[in-house]
Amino acid sequence: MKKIIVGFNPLKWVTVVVYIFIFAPILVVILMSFHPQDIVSFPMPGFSFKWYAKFLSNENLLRALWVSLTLGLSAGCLAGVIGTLAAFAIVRSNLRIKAALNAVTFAPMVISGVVMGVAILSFFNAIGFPRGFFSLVVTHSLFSLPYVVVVVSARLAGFDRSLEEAAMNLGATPWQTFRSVTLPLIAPGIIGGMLLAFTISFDEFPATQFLSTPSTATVPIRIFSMIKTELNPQINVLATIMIVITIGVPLISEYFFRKK
Amino acid sequence: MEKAALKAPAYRSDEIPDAATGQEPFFIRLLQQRGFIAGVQFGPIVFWIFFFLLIPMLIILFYSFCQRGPGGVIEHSFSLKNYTHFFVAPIYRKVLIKSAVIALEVTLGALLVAYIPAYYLATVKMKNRILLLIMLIVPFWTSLLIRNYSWILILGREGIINVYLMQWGIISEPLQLLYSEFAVVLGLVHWVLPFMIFPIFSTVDNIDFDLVNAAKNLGANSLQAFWRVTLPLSMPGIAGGCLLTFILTIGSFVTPSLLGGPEDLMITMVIAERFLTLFDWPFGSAASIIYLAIMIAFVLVYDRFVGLKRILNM
Repeated sequence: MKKIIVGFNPLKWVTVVVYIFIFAPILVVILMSFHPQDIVSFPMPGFSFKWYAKFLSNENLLRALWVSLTLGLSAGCLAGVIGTLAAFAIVRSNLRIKAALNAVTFAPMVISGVVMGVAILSFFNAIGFPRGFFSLVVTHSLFSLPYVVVVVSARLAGFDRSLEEAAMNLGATPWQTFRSVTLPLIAPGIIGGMLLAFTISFDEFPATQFLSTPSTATVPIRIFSMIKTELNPQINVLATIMIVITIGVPLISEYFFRKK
Repeated sequence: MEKAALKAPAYRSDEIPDAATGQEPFFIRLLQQRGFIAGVQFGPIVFWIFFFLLIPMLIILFYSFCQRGPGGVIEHSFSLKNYTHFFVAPIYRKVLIKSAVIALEVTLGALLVAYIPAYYLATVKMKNRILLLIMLIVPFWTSLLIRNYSWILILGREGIINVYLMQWGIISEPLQLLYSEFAVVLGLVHWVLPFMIFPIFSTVDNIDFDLVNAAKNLGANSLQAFWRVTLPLSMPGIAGGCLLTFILTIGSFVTPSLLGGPEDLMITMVIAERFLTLFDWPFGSAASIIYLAIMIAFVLVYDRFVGLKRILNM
């Protein structure tokens, strides 16, 4: 171990500056949500909860929040189930297609959301299916699949298979082994992956803009149009709520990881 | 297997085996079939990827050869018109170049910003390292739209930077920071930073620092040791981070459309405009296919010169 160097350490200070750069935009938004005036100005003339009150009476935004929450939960659960099964296939089977499957699963992570969005829109249009909630669930689950697969695969790869063999030797059937040995051991990974999926869905804009309808406008859709049209200070409140949700959700998943 | 299951005493009665017939229920037997298990595991993901990734891509490939009819109808007539138009019209060439330039600038910028913190976190042993690493993911958890909105508050005409620079008398006129290429690059660097820091951190963390010490014992100074030993050994992480950064930036949409000026058009914005406001799906599809082709070509070239295996085995 190195001694802590007393005095000027340029590497340390550059690191501190980069951390400030990383957190500046997040802190600014939270601070501005307490701004008392209509036009955001600096330095802040005081503190107020005015915009929180206005936000709570803005039905459009609250509906968008509801759409985003239900959408995130549905897409998260769907991606959780499909991704967990896929992780088993990728880690445990020795079929040839698994490498190709692994590669293709990660495609939605690197292909632009805009291109994915127009492609899925074209697909649903071609089969005559209307855009809306269902198409959004499908799209968001596709986007979050790679994250679920990564998290659950990591859990499965570090899994001691002799535990399963022991259960089988003691007379458990494969289903029992899965239910009482495998599943509880990988559950933190599944929950973590699903929460990550929720976060991805909650923030998705590029593909969502093609598939949402006025009644299924999500929070990002509302924020985007608010930023484009007028800089309404209610965005700050919404932003603060979203920051609390999106940082809180992974912290909860972290808690699940730690507990097991 | 079945016999062993029957003899085993440790069963709860509500589970197998079925007490009345002495046989396991149908679905339990089904579960023991290897083919069935493989089907359940592979089935959903293959279905999902086939119907919601491959087929949609094939459909836009098909649309890209069609034409826009009156009222946004798609006329199924095969022609290469969309592609020739894309490459002949100077505006789209400008868009392509702009996309590539912004992606390059962001990659370089992110590398410059990320290397020192990644190196510092990997080499300096301290108690809070895990906490500091987790803190790096916080921006990844925060909505990209929100972060871009915050950059508007910071960089705008009456934003934090201009207000304070003017108050301190450093400038007399507000600077045009927002709605410029600078703002786009700044916003994108902020977005891709974790994707750059983590690969570099993990390679530097795995470097055997005895090698660096050996170089120093042989007479190299710290800078030489870094330049000749540490930096080459951290190349896989740098290469991986740059690849990911470039690919993510060239397909980015939110940041250029919120922070960019009218000149900062990226290819994704052309696609979105064609689909959402001009109802010219065939041309938008052609632009999407061109984007995909460029991305695949980039990955192949990268593989040729840098080697994806080296990065993936990092």
